[in-house]
Amino acid sequence: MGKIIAQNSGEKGEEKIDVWSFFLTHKLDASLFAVSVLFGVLFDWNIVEIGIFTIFIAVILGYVSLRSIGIAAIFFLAFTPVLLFLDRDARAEEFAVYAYYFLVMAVIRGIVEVRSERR
Amino acid sequence: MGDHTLVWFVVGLVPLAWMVWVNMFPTGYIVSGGDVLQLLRVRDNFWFLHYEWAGRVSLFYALFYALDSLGVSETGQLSWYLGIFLFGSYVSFYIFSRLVFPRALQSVSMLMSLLYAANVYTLYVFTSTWGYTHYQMLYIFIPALTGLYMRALSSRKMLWAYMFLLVVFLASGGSFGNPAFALSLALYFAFLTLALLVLRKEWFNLTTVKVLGVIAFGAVLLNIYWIWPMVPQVRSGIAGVSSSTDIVLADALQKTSNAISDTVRLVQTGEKDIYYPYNFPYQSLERFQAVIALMLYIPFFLVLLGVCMVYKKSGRKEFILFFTLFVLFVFLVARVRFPFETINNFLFQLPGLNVLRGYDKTAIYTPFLLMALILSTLVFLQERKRLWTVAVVLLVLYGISSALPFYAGGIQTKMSYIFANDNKKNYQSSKYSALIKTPKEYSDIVDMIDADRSDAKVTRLPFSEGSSIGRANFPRLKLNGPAPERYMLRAGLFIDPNEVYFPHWRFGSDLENTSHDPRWMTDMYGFLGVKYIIYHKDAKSGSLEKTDGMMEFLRDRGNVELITENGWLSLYRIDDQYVLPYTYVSDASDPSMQESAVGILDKASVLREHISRVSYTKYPDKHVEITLSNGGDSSSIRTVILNERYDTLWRAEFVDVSGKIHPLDRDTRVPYANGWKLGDRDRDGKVVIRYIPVERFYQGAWVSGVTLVVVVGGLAVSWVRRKKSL
Repeated sequence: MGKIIAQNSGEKGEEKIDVWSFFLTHKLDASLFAVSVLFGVLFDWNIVEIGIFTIFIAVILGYVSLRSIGIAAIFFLAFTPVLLFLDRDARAEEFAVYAYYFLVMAVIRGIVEVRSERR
Repeated sequence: MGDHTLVWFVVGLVPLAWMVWVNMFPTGYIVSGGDVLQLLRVRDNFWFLHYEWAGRVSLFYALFYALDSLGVSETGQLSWYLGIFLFGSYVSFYIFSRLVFPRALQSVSMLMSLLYAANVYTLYVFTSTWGYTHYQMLYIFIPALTGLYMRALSSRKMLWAYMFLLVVFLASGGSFGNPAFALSLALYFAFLTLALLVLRKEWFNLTTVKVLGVIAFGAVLLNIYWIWPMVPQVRSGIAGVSSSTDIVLADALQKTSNAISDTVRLVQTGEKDIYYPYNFPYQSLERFQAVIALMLYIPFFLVLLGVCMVYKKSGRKEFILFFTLFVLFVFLVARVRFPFETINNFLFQLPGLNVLRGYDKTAIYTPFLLMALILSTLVFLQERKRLWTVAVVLLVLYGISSALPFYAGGIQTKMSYIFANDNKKNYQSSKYSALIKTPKEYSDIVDMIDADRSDAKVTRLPFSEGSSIGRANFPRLKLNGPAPERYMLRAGLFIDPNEVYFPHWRFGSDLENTSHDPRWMTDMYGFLGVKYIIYHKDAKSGSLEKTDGMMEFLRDRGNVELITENGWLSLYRIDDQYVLPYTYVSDASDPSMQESAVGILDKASVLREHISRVSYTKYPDKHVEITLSNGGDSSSIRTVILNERYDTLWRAEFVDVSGKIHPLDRDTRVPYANGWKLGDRDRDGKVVIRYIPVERFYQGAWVSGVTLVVVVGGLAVSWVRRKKSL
């Protein structure tokens, strides 16, 4: 059984959820994830792009924290200087674009979190 | 050193003073390269340029007027451009940091202000030639404007609104020489306001709306002195951008599109190789070049660290605010690159937004947004001393390495983009340079022309085309840029063959066409009111080969007379029979001329026979009064002509002897000047010709002046009230 980790922003500690239970208790969200994968297949995206789009859906639904998005952006951006150093400019820009997608997700997540704070 | 305000602020001034001192320019040199020629003879030419630009940059150049009047050399003025930019940016960001991040340590404010002043982007500004004009002055004011705007909305106190408006007025003095920057600034504040609203950073109640209204209304009124004159030109300007054949919009967008990996490093993709650190002059440090290029990622990695830490409540809204704006501007700077090509192709083709085609119109905000984010991150890290220390050390290393030429000196003598691809990276030994030294022979010729106080114009030959419109190529002078005589002469006299004087004909390239009878040149130049030709012996050898023979031919036929020559230049005078006066009346039934060498040869002598000279008075504010008396010519068909470049913004009226005024209709058949039809009744009286933008400048200046008085008064009252309440 796979396990997914959801970490809510502002709270310490993690909540490990069993995949099957998740799909059973969050049918709508699960359907959205499934649709996002199908969407990617329909538009002929590669596996990374489908994955990023699915994570984007997860961000909107509130499953991914700002910290996780930041780490993902760091992960992709970390490759960029290495690839530039190796003269792989096109690939470096591809990774920078992936990092940018996470920046956009960070903006959306950040706005949602700030607005949900009590005045 | 504790966290004392003044001490850290003053400490930050020391490296800036060092940068100005170590980058002092070699004596006798001026800047001319690319599209930029440093403004020369500011004391003599200031008022002409004030009216020519309808006041758009007068406040900025008023300072240089004062410097020139005090005897500061033109070389010395280059250091002032650098100093104003560096010190101004530093102070502006310092103000922003204290207003928006009061919890930040003073030492951090100082560090970030230094980084804002001296970074890869500002190095690009000063290793190109843009820094030696007003062009990028908006960069200085962005932080202060942002900080004051946010403080005005958060405090809802008019004091901050008035201070914001005062800075807006100061910024208007030089930042909007290119009005596209005004549009991009308006967009920036629109996005900022929207982000503040969405993040509920500022709760928009009635008081906030009132403050916002005062700011918006006040900003427009304070800038109306240059906006109002621009209005008639806006529509044609925007249409011109869309339809231009000199600069094709789609190609410009492609060329200026910036990779994301470069934008986050403040590097310009399209011209990366000619700017630091890819243009690297330090041979002994060559092995570190790749490391320095990689270090440019440090700021953005710190920002991503901030993203990971933003769950902290304090300072979180500011971080998300600037992060949102940064992500938005990365998108705009990317232009038509994947994955933004579709939407940006649409956006930048919209009327109005198409003027933002230049890289710097949107990229100018990225350094500020990046530094604001780092500042915010450092505030988050203040409680984690070790991580804070590591971040600060990395930033110091980044600051020194990314702006090394500022600290080591030689930003134009060793780093100029013009000789980036030259083997010799030195202004003295390279083939071309942005630093040029005009020899005494140039001044001698200029002095001779200056002695002629008439309105006769001056041009240059040969064409010796530079790399783009408006540029000349004089290898011996190492020049690939605007010809220096443009500003060495009294302003307004110079006609450059690499510019457009006929609406549908760029005649420059025809000047070296040996298949034409060269006499067309004296005909054409005569029609443009040109009396003197400065013949450049320092031009390209190919151009000289084509033109030498033509000049000899014209001399032999008496079309031109050689007045004097030296090792660099020859000065010719066109025979008076060809030179038309500044204003005249033509009774030719058809004053038009086909816009070509052949068309001019066919018609010029015929048109000259139908010209009557008139007396006129020319005023400095682009206003001319022509006296017509005794009925003038008895011909029923007459056209009064003003020998200025064709521009629909010149308007003419006839004032008869009783004082009655009526407007005159344009004679659109005259492409080489500005002509108006005179009717039968227009015989005794005056023709008054005005340049509409100057008229509007006067109207706008009144409004802006009154607004400024109100703002200053309001500021004083608010300040006194604040002091009393404290």
